[in-house]
Amino acid sequence: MNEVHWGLLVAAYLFLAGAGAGALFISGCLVLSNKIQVPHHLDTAKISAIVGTLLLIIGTGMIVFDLTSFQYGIAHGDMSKFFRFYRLFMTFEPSSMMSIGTWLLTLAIIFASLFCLSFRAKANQPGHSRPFAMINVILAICVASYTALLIGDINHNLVWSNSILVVIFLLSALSCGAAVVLIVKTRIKITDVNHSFAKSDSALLALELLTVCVFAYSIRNISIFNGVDNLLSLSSDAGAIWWIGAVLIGLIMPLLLNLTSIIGKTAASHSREYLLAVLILMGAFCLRYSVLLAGQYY
Amino acid sequence: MLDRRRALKLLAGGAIATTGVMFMPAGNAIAVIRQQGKKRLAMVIDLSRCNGCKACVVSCGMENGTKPNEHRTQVIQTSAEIGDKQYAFNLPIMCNNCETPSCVSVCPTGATFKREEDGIVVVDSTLCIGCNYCIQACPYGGVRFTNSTTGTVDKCNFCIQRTSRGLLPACVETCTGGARVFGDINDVNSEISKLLSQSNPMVLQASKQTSPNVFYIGLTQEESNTAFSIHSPQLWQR
Repeated sequence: MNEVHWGLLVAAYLFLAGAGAGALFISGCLVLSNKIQVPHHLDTAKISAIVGTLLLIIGTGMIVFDLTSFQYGIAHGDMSKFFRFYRLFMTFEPSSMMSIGTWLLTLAIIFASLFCLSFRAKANQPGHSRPFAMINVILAICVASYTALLIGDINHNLVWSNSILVVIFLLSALSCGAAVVLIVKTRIKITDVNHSFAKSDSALLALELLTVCVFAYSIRNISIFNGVDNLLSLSSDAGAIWWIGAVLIGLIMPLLLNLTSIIGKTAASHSREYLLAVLILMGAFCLRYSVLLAGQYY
Repeated sequence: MLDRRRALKLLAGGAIATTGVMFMPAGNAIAVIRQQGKKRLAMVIDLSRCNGCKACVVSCGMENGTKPNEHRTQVIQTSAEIGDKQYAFNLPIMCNNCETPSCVSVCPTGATFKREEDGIVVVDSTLCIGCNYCIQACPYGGVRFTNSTTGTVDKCNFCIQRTSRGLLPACVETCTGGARVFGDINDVNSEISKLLSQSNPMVLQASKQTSPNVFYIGLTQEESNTAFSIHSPQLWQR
């Protein structure tokens, strides 16, 4: 395989769906743990749910933009090709992970929207959001895992069929969700005084770093076994994006930023929190893009 | 209780079975197809007869109206080492119209399917949305591509418009060396059936378990396990 059929748009789809699912997961957890009794947690949960829903919708849009029939429809003004994506909703193919994902994302967007509305309708009784929170937490885990299973279903692919990708994408979706929530918290000027957020985020990033290293090691071994160059070597495009973008910028630098604020026992400034969140989000995008490229380069 | 001797026997059995699958000659694939007893259209390519003229590539493009840089079939020029000698040979590549195709199950709209009546794997361009999932799922590089005229996925379908009327695919009809032989492998009187029983045909990447319906005569075991692509660089012809 030496042609890149899935590039930036599909990477954006995997990233946005993961980040949206992560934000909805954390929002749902805040509701289920009754933390929303505290007003600023309620605001955080509410805004994170709205942002998460928007990210899911934009992410789904990205996969539609990537369809060659859609691009052909735009280029040639052919409306029948432009709207061809409706075919996805005319059938359910249980053997196709993409068909399963289409319906899963549809359900996730519907329930995420209902979750957002539940905050608005029952502003004085936030407990009424609990059933929607429960459904959203489950759907968020399914969506975050699905983004890995979509490519994992290509079972002859040396990179994509690696099972640990599901765990990596799940952890990455959670850290992306945490980054989105961090941006929301920073926007509404909530300070992480006792470093609880920084500590849990650090644990998540450390776990992700570990799984990412295990994945890179297994890809190295698989490459040697199959007689191909290391698919994640630093000299390749995919490897450079992986090691510099995903590992250094997306994991090691945020981890160091978190640790310095925990060890220094000082609350991170808002600009530092923004930087932390942006680094995590950039890294998560690079992670998905490099995995996509590595799987298409041999 | 599993003693050491029995465990070793089991391990050895497993290793032999795995090796058998990895290096399965085309004979087993043919047996699988023949067991079904239905009409199964297939192609045999005799590499000793392919002179690399690419008449098949040109006639395919003219018959199916693809652009000059988009090919349903291509003849790649490659080399292999046998012993201490290096050999160069032409290798025609196309969709294998597999018996258990990996592209069909992943299609989210049902646009790619296998025809019951003759086993040809087709893409319905009126249903295809161009998600490229089938391209990713196919282990044979480049045999599926996006047709720039339709904006959907395209591939070799054994010239279905011709074979449905009893004609030969365009590439078979124009092959100057008579390297391509086409027909129903379940018809014992067909030329292809006789050729398959007389020779020792191989299929590409048998380990992928797709049971291809394109067979090669003159391909070594090592070459058949290689992941060739339709876009492999041409070694001696521009």
